[in-house]
Amino acid sequence: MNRRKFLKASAGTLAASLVVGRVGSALAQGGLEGEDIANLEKGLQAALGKGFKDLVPSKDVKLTAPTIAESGANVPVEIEVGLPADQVKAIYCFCDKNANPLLFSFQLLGGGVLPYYATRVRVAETAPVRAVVETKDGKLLLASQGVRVTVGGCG
Amino acid sequence: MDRPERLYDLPPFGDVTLLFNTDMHAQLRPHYFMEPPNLLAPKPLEGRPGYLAGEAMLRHYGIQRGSLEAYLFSSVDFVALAERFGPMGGGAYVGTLIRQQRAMAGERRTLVLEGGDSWTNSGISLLTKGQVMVDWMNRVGFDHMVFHWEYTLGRARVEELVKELKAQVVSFNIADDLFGDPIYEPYRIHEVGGYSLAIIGSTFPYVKVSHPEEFSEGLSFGVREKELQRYVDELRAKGVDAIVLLSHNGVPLDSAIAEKVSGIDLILTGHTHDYTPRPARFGKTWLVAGGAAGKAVVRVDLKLKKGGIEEIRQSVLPVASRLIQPDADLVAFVEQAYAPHRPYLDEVLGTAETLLYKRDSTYSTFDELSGRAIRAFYPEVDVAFSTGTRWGTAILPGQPITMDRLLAYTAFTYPEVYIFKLKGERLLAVLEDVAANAFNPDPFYQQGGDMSRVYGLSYDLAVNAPTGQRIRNVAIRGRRLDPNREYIVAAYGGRLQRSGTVLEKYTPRPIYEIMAEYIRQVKTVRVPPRPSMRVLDHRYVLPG
Repeated sequence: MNRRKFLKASAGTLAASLVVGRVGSALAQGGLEGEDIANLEKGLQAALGKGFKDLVPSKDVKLTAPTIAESGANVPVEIEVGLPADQVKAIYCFCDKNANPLLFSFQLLGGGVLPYYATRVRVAETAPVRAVVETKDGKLLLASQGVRVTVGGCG
Repeated sequence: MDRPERLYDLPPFGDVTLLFNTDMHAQLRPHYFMEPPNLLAPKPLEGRPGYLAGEAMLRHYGIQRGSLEAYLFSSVDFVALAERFGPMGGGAYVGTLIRQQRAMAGERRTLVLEGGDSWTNSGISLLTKGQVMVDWMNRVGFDHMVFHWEYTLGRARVEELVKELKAQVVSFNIADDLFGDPIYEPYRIHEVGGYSLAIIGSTFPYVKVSHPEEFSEGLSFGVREKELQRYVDELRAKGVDAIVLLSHNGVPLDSAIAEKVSGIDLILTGHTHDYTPRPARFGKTWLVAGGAAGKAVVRVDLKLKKGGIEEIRQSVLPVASRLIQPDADLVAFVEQAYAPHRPYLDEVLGTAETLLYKRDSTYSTFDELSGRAIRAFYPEVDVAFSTGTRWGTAILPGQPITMDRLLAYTAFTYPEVYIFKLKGERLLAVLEDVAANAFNPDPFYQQGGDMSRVYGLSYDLAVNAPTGQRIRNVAIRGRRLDPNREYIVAAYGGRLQRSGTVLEKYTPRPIYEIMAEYIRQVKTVRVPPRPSMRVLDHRYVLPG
């Protein structure tokens, strides 16, 4: 980034903070750290036959993961869907930077199974984790969260 | 102020008094500690508590230059004020002040709270594996405690010491790694003046990321803000009137938590070593920071009402050793603790000709000295890293440097200096990673330390650039960084060595031994502040 672009970006951050007046999420920075849509796309196509542009960010998908992982090898992830169970077909979880971006998938087979899944995943390096929920009517709902995997400084 | 000792005359107010002491880092002897000349803020956090340093701190709180408050809260005129007001803190003085305030506020309506980072990081702590601090706390009388550096004693030792500790540990976020159950009580409810007050404990979330994992085997920490909300809701459902979070998250993260988790009335926060001369307010939550190094005890008097706090009064009480008459039993306790170790700890290694300080966002003269010592010991080292820890001490120009003072900066339970090879591109990535932890505009992504300090390497820093673009113009030993070259790097007190290939032919030696040897050799230490980095988007202030 050249100097002019940099100053412009900083000014943008300042303006945003004045309007919002609160500490925003990492979105204030532009994108999520370590975002790698090209790599993610491979995983999305393989698992769903769809691309990133087909995903719709939704408040009905709640993704809980630590912002800074204690260990990238073992990151607790929780996905909760705020829709009736009979509207949810499957839950997928991806990470942008993993060699295989699909972390896990879970098909809801009906019979009153709650659309909720919690497990531990491996996050290779600092990158967004994505929860993708496939609904019965064919929509793909998305929630994303950046997870830092750090070499660790000192406290 | 004509009679500064009147600072301490505080009649009781309201229903309950909280005495808050935190981040003493086992400094049992009075000492000097200079506040950071710079706290470089990412833009969205600029001007907020946690990012006020030097003149900005004085301006923000209307503090007069040259006053005891200016000495306590800022780096402005530090050496002159250190000579005027003398050393601060120390176990005898902190303990006496806590006892006096408890008696003044009312024994039965006072809670004494310790915010963590109290048991480790001094010579006397290292030699007794934290024992001396537990004995000290038991003498003074604490009610609750949370942890951070305590875990660098190792989990088994912490658990041994907890058995002896009279204070009750509270922490909702120290969990069994496998099952997720909390190891300690998450909170404790106290009945005071017809109201109920809950203290929820929150230990440092990144114990595992900041230190070797073997110290906290089988445990998991984390911010866990959703769980915290559940505990708050649980307490509200029980009809608790006021909820206090005793926390080691630090000011930036706790101010973000105050905005995210609803129903906390007051957060008492340690870790970042900040002061809030007036309580800060975020949403409906008060935030009070506790400082560090034994320099202050914070007294908070609360008038409660059904379901919350009616009125808050806060005094940051300086532990000025020239104004407090310490209790004889505490003086004797500290003396006895040191007695067997004096030959080792009181050895004079050399003299400081210039001010040695530690705390700052990016640079300090102490870190520069550690780099010089490492380079003298290992001339082949291209770059020496020093930690971005916040603890330490200050040594005034003309003062002797004793082993005890050196250990005040370097008493790690993992003090080894590792020598390793690191490729240029990886070295740059490591600097970016540390900068992303230190300067993230979202406190939920800050890991908690200051920027690692570098010797032999120069760079430009753009605090507000996106991750991956903060570190520019890197040169090593005066030559532009070559991404493909393998450099010889030294580091201690962290995990940086894992990024490279450790060179087995070097037996790791403790940083304090390497530095002691160097200081004995040079005798006089002269380190004028000359940072090797330039900050592009902030004014950078040098002390003095």
